Amino acid sequence: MSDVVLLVEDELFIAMDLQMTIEDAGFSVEGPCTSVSEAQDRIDRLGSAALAAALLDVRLSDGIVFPAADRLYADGVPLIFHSGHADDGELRRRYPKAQICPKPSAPADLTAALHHCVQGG
Amino acid sequence: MHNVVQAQESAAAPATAAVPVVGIGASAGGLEALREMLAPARLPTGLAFVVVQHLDPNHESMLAELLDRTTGLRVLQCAGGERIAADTVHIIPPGHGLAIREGRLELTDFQQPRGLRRPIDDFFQSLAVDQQANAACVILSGTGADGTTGLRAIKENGGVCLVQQPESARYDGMPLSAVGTGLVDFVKPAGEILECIRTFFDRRQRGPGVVEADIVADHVDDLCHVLRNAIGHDFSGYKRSTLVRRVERRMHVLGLDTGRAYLARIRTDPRECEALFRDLLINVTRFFRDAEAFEVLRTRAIEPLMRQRTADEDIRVWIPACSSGEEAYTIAMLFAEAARLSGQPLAVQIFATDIDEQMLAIAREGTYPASALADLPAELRDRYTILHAERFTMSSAIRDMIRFSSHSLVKDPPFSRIDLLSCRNLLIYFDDRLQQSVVPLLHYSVRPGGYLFLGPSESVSRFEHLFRPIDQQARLFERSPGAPSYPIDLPGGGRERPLRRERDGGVEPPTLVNERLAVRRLVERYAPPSLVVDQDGAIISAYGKLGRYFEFPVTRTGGSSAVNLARAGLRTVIGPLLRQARDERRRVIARDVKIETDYGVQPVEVICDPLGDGTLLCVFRDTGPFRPDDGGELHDLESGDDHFEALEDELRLTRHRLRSAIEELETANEELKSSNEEMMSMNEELQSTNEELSTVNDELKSKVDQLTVANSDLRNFYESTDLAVVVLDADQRVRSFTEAATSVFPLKPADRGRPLADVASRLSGSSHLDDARAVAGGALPIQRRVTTLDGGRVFSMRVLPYHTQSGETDGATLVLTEITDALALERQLAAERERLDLAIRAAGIGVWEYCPDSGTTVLDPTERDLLGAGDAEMAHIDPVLSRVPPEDRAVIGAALDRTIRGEGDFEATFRIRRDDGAIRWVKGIGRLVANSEPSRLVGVSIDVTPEHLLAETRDLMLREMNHRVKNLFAVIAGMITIAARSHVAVPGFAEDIRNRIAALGRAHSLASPAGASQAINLRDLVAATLAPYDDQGRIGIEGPALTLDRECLSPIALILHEWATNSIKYGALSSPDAHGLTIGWRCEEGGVRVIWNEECERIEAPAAAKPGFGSILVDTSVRQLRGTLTRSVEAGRFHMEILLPHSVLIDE
Repeated sequence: MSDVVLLVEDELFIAMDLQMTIEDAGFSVEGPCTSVSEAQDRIDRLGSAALAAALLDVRLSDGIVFPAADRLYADGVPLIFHSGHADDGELRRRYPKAQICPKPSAPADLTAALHHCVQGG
Repeated sequence: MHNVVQAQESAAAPATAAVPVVGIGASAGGLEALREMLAPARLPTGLAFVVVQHLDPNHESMLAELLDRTTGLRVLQCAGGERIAADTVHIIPPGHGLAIREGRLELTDFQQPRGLRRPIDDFFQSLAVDQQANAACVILSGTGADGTTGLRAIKENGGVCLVQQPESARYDGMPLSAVGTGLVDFVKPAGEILECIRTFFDRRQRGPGVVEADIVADHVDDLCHVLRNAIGHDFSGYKRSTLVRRVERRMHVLGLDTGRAYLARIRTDPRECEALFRDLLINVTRFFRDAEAFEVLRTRAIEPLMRQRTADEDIRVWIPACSSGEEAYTIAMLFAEAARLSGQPLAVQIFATDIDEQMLAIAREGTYPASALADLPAELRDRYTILHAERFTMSSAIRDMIRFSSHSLVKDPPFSRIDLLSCRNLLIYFDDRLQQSVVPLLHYSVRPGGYLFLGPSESVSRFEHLFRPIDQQARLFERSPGAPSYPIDLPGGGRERPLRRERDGGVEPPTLVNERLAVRRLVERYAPPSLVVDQDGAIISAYGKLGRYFEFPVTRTGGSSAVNLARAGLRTVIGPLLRQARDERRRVIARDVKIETDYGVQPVEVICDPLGDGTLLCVFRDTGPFRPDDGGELHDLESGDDHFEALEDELRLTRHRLRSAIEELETANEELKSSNEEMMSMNEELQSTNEELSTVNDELKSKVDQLTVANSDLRNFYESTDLAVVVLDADQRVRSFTEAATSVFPLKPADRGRPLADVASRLSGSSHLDDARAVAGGALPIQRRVTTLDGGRVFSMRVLPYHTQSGETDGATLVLTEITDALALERQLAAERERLDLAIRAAGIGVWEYCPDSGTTVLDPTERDLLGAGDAEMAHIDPVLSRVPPEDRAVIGAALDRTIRGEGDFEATFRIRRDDGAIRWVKGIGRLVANSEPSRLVGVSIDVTPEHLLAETRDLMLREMNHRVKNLFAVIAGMITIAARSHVAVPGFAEDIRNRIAALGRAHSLASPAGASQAINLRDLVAATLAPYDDQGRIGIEGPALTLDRECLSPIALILHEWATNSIKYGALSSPDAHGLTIGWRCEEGGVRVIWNEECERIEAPAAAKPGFGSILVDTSVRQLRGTLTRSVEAGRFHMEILLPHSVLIDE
């Protein structure tokens, strides 16, 4: 079972914080990717199978993360959205199985979400 | 002819289904009577009315107009060709007569001069023929006798006749004349006539029951009895069925249901007796009735008679029951024609008799409706009639042949030595018994070889031996030879006396009757012939065969004096004998009297016995055998007394003189009669002129009343109206003016007739006078605004032409309406409106109107501009809606529906796509117009595009802010996490964090709060970030104006903050007076280069140590900016450069 978590976050301070939280939870971090294209490249390179989960920011500098998320979701990679959007309705509609952690999230919530991903498969 | 025409009665049955037609004849005083009669009409009456009123032909009639106001019925003046309609009153137009044919009214032209016209008669006659039993006639007030003849026609055809009660009529001439015929069914006050007609026709339509008819039949004997007592004519020998029908008709008229009731009525009411008598005698006859029979009569009887006539004898013709004379005239014409063709003199005497004096009067007049002419063969028509348009008269040659007299075939002694006896259609009304008594009578009348002419359904029945048929088909008979037996016991004779007794003493015991019969038989058969005469010798009764002693007259006209009638021989004796017996009151006998007859001499003795009551009984006893005439006897006579001869000669002479004197008198009488007739006709003419005048007078009176009312209306209007009206005549003289006009022109009543120009005027200028002149001269109406001299009042003046009734212009009418207040109001309104317009325009409010039913819209220019609609699209809502996106269209539709249902005002905000593609937000507010048909919505629209954009932006901003704040929280959370790893002491950690947050806060204050610009001036950023450390202005900041993307704000601020913190701790800012820090930037090929340069003695070369939290922050930030950092530290100098990519810049 892989313990690699793909991290996509364009704000580096947040990315650092998340990376630490992920690593503290016992996973290794791939990323952080700061743009959609970067995330796509990284997925191309690794393949979805290598990923235990993905922690994704929604709005990135070059657009919305959805193209990458769609791919991952289709491949069955558990998704955790870390979003500052007030409205998460669209996320829930689009990815019913994904978890959503509103920004900012307490590290404990994120940790729990990660564990949920791994356990829930 | 006493006729009841069965065919007509049966024809009446289907006719009852049609609307009964009521002909109304009226003359002077008719308007009043017509009003009274028609006012109570309650619809539906089921009757049609035709009013024939004598009218002045030169005067338009207002009758229809006047009547229309008083009655609920429709009133029309007839124009010809109208179909009779129920509940409608058709009125005769002036100058025309009226006729009805097949239910259609026709106008006829008068042929007679005024005064001789009888429009009522004419119409009634056509009505009778056209409508038969379905007709009713009403005769109302008027002078003269018009309508009386027509009434007879109505009755003949089975119609009903009503007359206004003469006492209640203003002029009773016509009603009295009508009542005088005795044929009138009802005499009523005008107001009750209508109801009476209705009831009559209602009852008639119900019809009589069978049981009722039986009851009537039971009473016929009693009825005849009563009639005989009252009228003197006996109808008991008439056919029962006929009698019953006539009686039933009378019962309908009276509204009686049982024969018993009618019997009671007729017993107590002599007038009803008369009415029944008239009804029983209702006559129908015509010229050449059964033309073939008359043809036979001509060839087989008349022409032979003319041929066989002896030169000195007249042909004698008797026509009993001649009625109105048509049959008599027919036969007269046939004789005249036969005489003309055979070249013989016209020596024919025709006796025409009837019991109905009124019929005889018509017959004597010899004037008939022109329609009867059709019955006459053309050659007779031209030769023997004189046509006067509507009527024709028999020529005097024909009239002079006929003597009309009152005579009852049943009751009176018959004429004798008749050559032709025409008795048509009389016997059919007699029952068998009466017929059998009458036929021998006819036999007596006709000379041997003479002719009897009967009606087509009559016969001589058992008396074929008396009359031999010549032509059975034509019912022409020849009298068989044989002695005439004078039927002294006439069928109806001898009843006078017993009747009188009955009246006096009630019922006679039967034994007495038998005794009377016995006595009578004794007298007739066994006693010597005798006579009862009065004191003057007039025969009262005769018994036995007196023919040998007396020459009985052929007519009654010869008188009944026994002296005159006595044969020669007796004549000389009987006079003295009677005188002596009368004077001496003793029985006197004259013996040895020789009566000379044509055949011989009879010796008799005559006893004269006074009977005590003034009458004398003469008894003749033959004293020897009858001695036939021979020469010797003749000789005896010649040798008789000369004295007698001389007396007789003298007598003859005297008689001759008397006759010529009588003839002279008759001639004089004729002349007087004719001048009387002339006078009568003049009188008629005057009367009818009078009637017409009084009708005109009535009409004028009504008109005057109406005019008085109209005038008073007008006066009230003039006095009360606020309109200033001045009426001017053609010369601009004041004709009349209203009270209100005196405020403009100080007119006094005396000013009427003064030129308006002479009257002072409060108006400025004299344009009104010019206008009045122009309009009176034929110009079109003028409207103009005029002011008073002081300018205080304004009037709208209209000058209209004054039209006379004939449509000519005769002057002008000035109508001044004060509009001072209205003008002020108008100005105020205009100002108000202008203000409102201005406000609407300023606010850019569009005004619209929408009609939901048709979908049409009315848009003002602003609205059209707002909706971007072209002119062509403003008329309908669809083109407007097509510019609205579908989802908004639904919103509009729902809002409109709600408003139309009345659930609230219209309010909708929607987008509209303009022609240039721009989308505009429009808000519409509207309301249903109250009480508008069809329903309408009126409202306004406002362009709310800017507000909408603003709201959208605000939303966007809010979302953005939310995101940023959360992002910021996340950044701070991240910083805390990272800082926590490099700090051990909480106070240092806290200060670090607080300072960084403060720096971030300062930097963020640069970001435009509205977010309108994403750009940040680099200089401002640097200055703001370093401001806490630059209290003494020691930091040099230098570089071109550059604007950076907002995204760069946090990283740059953090980098600058880190560096500044370091500088305070270790570098140029550590000492208060140091001046070694400069920050600069420039644009170059690879991007923007930011240079941080510190020069300070205290700076030392850094020890190679684990990078602190500060440097992690700087590195991360640079990475975030995708820049590259170059750092160089040497003693006394601290230099850093960051090359930022072009992407951080925003091109302005």
